[in-house]
Amino acid sequence: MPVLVRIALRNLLEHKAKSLIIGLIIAIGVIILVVGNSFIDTAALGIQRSFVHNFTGSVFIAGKADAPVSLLGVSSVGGTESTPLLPEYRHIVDHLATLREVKGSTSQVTGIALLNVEGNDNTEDAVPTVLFGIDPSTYRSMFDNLRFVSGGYLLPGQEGILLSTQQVAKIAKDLKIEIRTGDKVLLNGFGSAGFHIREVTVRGIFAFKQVDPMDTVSGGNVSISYVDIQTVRALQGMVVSSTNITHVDKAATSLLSAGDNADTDMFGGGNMVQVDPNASRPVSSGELTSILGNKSSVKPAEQLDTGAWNFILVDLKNPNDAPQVIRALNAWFVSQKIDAQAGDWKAAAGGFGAIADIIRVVFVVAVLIVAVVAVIIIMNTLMISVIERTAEIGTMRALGAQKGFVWRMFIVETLTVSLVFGVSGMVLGSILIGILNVVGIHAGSAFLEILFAGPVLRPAISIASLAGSLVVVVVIGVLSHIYPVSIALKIQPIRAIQTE
Amino acid sequence: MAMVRLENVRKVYALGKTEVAAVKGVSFSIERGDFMSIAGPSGSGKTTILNLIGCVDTPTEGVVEIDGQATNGLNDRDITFLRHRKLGFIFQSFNLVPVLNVYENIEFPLLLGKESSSRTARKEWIESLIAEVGLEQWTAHRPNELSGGQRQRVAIARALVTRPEIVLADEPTANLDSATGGAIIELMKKINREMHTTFIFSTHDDRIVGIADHIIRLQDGLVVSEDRREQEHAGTR
Repeated sequence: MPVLVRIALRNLLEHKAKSLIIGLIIAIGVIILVVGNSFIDTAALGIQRSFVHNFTGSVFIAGKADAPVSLLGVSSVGGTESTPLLPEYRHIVDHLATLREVKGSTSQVTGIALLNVEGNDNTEDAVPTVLFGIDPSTYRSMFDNLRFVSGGYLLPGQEGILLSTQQVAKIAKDLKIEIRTGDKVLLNGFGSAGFHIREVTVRGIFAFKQVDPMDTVSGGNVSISYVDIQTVRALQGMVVSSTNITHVDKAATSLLSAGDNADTDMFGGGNMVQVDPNASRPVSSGELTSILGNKSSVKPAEQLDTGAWNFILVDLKNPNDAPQVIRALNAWFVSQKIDAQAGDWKAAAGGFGAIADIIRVVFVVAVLIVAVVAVIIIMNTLMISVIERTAEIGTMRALGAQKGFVWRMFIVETLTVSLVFGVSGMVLGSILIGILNVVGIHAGSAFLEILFAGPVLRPAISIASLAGSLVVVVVIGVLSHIYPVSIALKIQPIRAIQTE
Repeated sequence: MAMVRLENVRKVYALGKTEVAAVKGVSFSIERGDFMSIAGPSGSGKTTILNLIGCVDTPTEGVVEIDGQATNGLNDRDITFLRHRKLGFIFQSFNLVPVLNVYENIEFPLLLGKESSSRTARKEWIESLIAEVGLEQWTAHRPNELSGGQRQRVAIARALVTRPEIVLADEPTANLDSATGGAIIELMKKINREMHTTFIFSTHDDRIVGIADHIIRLQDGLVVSEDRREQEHAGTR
């Protein structure tokens, strides 16, 4: 065994108390790292799976906006920016069909509405809901996320709404009415195109197989409802006239600024309505209503735009291909001059996707604080060791040990204690995770259910997490020894003679 | 050529705002194979001169030459290399590495350099040194299991293991009883005769000064006398 290792190991054994203090700090730190990382990794993977399989797919395609776009709309300051329509929708869908990585896709329009019932005039009681306007056939084949309590899925082309059990309970509480499948509810949609009201039939009442993130985060105030796409488009004011922008040339627009008397010039200055002296009888109000109510002549302008979608959600054969598919799609959008963007499930999930990241950041900050404390304690202990061994170091230097030898001696000691106790911590942490995996940690709240991506978290060990913990331990060890060793390297050989 | 040469060497230490001259212009030389004693009372500058010869301290003025090489101006790496190649040390407090046993302590300096000899040759050499200092029964023992005399014997073997030109011993008998101290000096003298190694030791004990064949007496940082006797070399390396 090399003399450096021999000296290191024996010094560690010789100074058991100091070695144990350093070792215990390292071991406990590693246990915290291994268990904490395992929790976060498991939760992050669970959240990802939950969103990918239930709401977002692996790839999310949306129109561009000034602020980040998610399934819930644009995250602009004040929430005033409307969700952009996806341009060149058909072209994009056709392109997706050519990609071998794509397993399937569905499209969605998101809206917000107040849910009310006929006869309730108090709009303050109306229940807010996030509307997911879907194509039932493709959506259902991609997301098997609903368990029906009554009724069933929307049929293709069928008007209607699917309400969650939480939503039904809230309606019962706030509107004092028990909603059942087949009942009608009023949706008061509000968006950039103004307010629209539609009456829709409740086709089914469901519970999410996993928790409704919207309902959980809003504290039970807002739930997701699934609505036929045409109803959401109508509520959002997605009519052909509003979605197709007609460009008018300057010559035509100049007419709009023809002067103060332009209207008089155009329509004449006299009475526009004159009594027809030849009329045989006055027109009844019923006939008038009939004439004005005949919308056949204006229908093209108000026709719902059946090609208007906010998002395309893409399912991949291998979800791990998402990054390269997203890159390829974004490059394709640029090449095709399509003002759209592709993102991953996190982009689609908006704030929810960041939950695991936020928790990880908090954990990392906590670990950093612990690491700094550990470094200080280890550093102090090593300093004492250096001071105690001044004569020994001075003697070694006098006998011909270069500074590098002294440095290596300390680094071997530090790495030995770091690795021995670090690996011990990894083993103990792994055993702890193994036990927790078998026992399972039950989520006590709906929020924890989101974090745990289910009612029970069964943390699993990842090799990357273990390797990461080992790296952290080594870094802590190396950082801790820098200052004490710099002091040790300054010890001159003469200290061998001066120190008794 | 002298093994060691000091020319007008001064060493001044700063004690706060006061400067204390430990050595005030000393010149002498030591020949190869000398068994030399630097004698004098406490504070006369013995240890300082030994430190300067041992390259563990640098002179404020003057020149120190080891085997014809001036030590002034050498960087830390070169001076460490010089110490390892040319010098052996025996300390007053033995200064053995506490976690290494007798064999390992003696072997230690060999592991600091690029040793060209085979493991077998190295082992034989170390065992011969252990036999020379009479510690065959104690090779596996750690320093804390040895008496003061035994520790100093280990230190002597360790000082010789790299086959240095010069062995420096700072008050090697100071922490030993007189009988053991006498035995240690006799051992050093024996090795000096057998291996033709230059020994330089400091002492304030007149009883062991007399064993040396080259004696420098110091007083207040100055050489007050130098005495050379005819050497009794019984053998060569």
